[in-house]
Amino acid sequence: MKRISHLSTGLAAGLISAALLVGTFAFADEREDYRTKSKQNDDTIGVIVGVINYLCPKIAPADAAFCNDANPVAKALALAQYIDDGKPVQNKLAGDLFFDAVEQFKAHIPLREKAKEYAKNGDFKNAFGYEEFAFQYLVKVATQGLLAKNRVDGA
Amino acid sequence: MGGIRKIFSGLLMLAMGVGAGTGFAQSLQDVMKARGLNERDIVAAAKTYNPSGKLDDYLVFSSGGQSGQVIVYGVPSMRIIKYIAVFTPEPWQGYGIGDEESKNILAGGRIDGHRIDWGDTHHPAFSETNGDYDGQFLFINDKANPRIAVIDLKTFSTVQIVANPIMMSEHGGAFVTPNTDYILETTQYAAPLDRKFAPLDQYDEKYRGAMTFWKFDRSKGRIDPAQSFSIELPPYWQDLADAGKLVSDGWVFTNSFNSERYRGGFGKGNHGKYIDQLPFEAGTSQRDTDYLHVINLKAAEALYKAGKVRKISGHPVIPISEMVAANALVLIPEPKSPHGVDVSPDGKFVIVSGKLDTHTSVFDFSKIMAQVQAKDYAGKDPYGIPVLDLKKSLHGQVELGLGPLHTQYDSVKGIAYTSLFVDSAIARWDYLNLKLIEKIPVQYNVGHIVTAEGDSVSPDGKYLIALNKLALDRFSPVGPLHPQNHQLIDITEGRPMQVIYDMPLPLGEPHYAVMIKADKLKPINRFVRASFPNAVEPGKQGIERNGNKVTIHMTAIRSHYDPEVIEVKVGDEITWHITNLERAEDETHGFTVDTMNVNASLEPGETNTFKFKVTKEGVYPYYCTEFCSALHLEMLGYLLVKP
Repeated sequence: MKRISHLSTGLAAGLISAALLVGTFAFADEREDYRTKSKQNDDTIGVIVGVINYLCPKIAPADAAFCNDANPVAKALALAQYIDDGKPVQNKLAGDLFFDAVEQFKAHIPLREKAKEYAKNGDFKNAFGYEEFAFQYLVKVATQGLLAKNRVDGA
Repeated sequence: MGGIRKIFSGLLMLAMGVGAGTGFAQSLQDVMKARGLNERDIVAAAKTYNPSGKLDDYLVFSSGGQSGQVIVYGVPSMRIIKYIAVFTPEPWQGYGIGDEESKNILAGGRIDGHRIDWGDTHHPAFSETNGDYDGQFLFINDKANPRIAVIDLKTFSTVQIVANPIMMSEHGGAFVTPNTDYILETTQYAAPLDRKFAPLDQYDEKYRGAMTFWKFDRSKGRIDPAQSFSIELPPYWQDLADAGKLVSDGWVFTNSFNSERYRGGFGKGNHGKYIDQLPFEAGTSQRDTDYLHVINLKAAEALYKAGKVRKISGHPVIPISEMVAANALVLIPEPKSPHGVDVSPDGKFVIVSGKLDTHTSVFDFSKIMAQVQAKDYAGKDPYGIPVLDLKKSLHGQVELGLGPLHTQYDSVKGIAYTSLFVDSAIARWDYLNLKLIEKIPVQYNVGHIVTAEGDSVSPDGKYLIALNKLALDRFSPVGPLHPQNHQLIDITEGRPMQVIYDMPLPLGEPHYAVMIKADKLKPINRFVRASFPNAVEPGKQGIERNGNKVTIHMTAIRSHYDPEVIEVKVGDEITWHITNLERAEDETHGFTVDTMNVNASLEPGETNTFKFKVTKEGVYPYYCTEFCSALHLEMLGYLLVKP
């Protein structure tokens, strides 16, 4: 139970905008905005990794070796492929939700690569924009991931 | 007598649970075991079950989403009682299926001269007297085709539709002022207010938002467009709205998103300069805050009456500059991408939640007013509108969870409920002392919520309904398109919240709902025949011919029409008046002429008129489409069309 609440709190921390009370609108430092947004996405992915590690053994059968993979993305992709192949899982609805979350997660990857490319060329305005774009996908990952977690937890 | 005694004793045994195993009756325990129910389920069932004939304490009027209708259901039973046809023709009610009366109502909603056969209904609102629901009228908006409809709750039927003359898209309607002087309608996606073309390059200069104040004439039960006006707003995408109450009466609020004024163009499918931009979902979310708009309605009304308006498509619009000069429009930063701006029952606080934040913000109206009166501005937006300081405007913020969205109020002072979209939960919290009390999961991804009389100055508490966007595993699978899931939650004071009913709603995606105490509604149960100008009185039935114009005066009563045989010729133009002569409650007759694409629902006392031209010879039966009596099938006639 402690672990679950830790996951939710972590997810919240990853999702919230930093320091809402600033009330400022000007992007005085586009580089800094990009870095802040990029860190927020890194933090969110960190939380998503925790959710992947939590869900994999609760969705996949007990003998599924891919849940022991140290690489969480490889683990998630393997479980998603396993679900897509129609193989038996412990919780079908949670499995379907996990699959959807992985689809959203996959969609965010090229956007962050593009953001990095813009940043490398000094275009921090577009770099920030693509990090924001990626963040929208990560919110969807979190939404589906939370629903999957609620299903395996019986909520 | 012996038989009666036997039945009675059997019922008694059933009630006492002593019939188990006799083959005659089941005990509660038997049923629970057979159906896999626990005590919590049984309590939920007992809280919601209405034995036959027992009526509900509350009625919910829910938007019907894309169906363009309003759905009415009872609480706590969650039984659907009625669909009210509003923007969409609906055959059962004979709405828009040929009769002149409903055709005229729908014609009020024509835009650019053409008929629109559906609506995206979003937010219903009851008429109010001194901030309390009075049960007289319901208003609802159409987001896709900016319109407002008036529903008369004496008949539960739509009586008027008005089309907005300056908007291309709206969302912040319908919300009413505390005595229903005005009905609010606010734009969503900005566009030129003259409804003409302007390139996106000119977005900042030519695209605008607006709020329309539709004047409601209660004595006529109709909106009076000639006494209505709008205010111009910046091209941020205004969202929901609410009117002030009590201390904040005379002020109105609307929130917004896309204060970035982002113009889109995502994807390779675009062309020219609109290519490979960020999508709207990312471009409109770049800033941490958007703008809460605070509008002085009384000052705006004075400006309108003083003629400080610009006529756009013949409609008076107060320019931003006039509103600013009158100190009648200010902005306050709010959490980005909000959905819901909800004034507390005492009018002292305005609660806003940003969907991408975990906090809900409680704005203090007195702090806002202090800054407005002192002209204590933190800055101005690009349109010269004063911007207040966020910190100075806040009572405080509370971290409720992921994706806070819409807030409703309890009867207990200071207690509110907020939906959490991402969390799929409802938060019960204290907005005075700024603390979360408890959360309850809902299934799944809740959008709006409604509490009993929760938008009024005196909410009742007791019940909350979560309007969930996803149903997933809650109901039997019916293919890829799932029904909506409205979950009833017991929010009785002093007990943890409990979900006590899941109701599938398979008609559109309801966005918002309002809940009223059932005994406030005083609907009629029959029409007064004489109130219809075309009513056909008994003995006055007949057929009149004037050249090729044929007028039929017909009555319907169980189980015949009079006249039953009508002869006309090809090319005749028919005007057909039909009056239901029934006086008995619930004795409705239908009417259709086969292949003529008409259908009526004639309630007792009601008259409908149809007009059509006959173009092909033949024998056309007409009949009653509502099972009205044992000889219902015999309720028919022949329209004989001679060559």
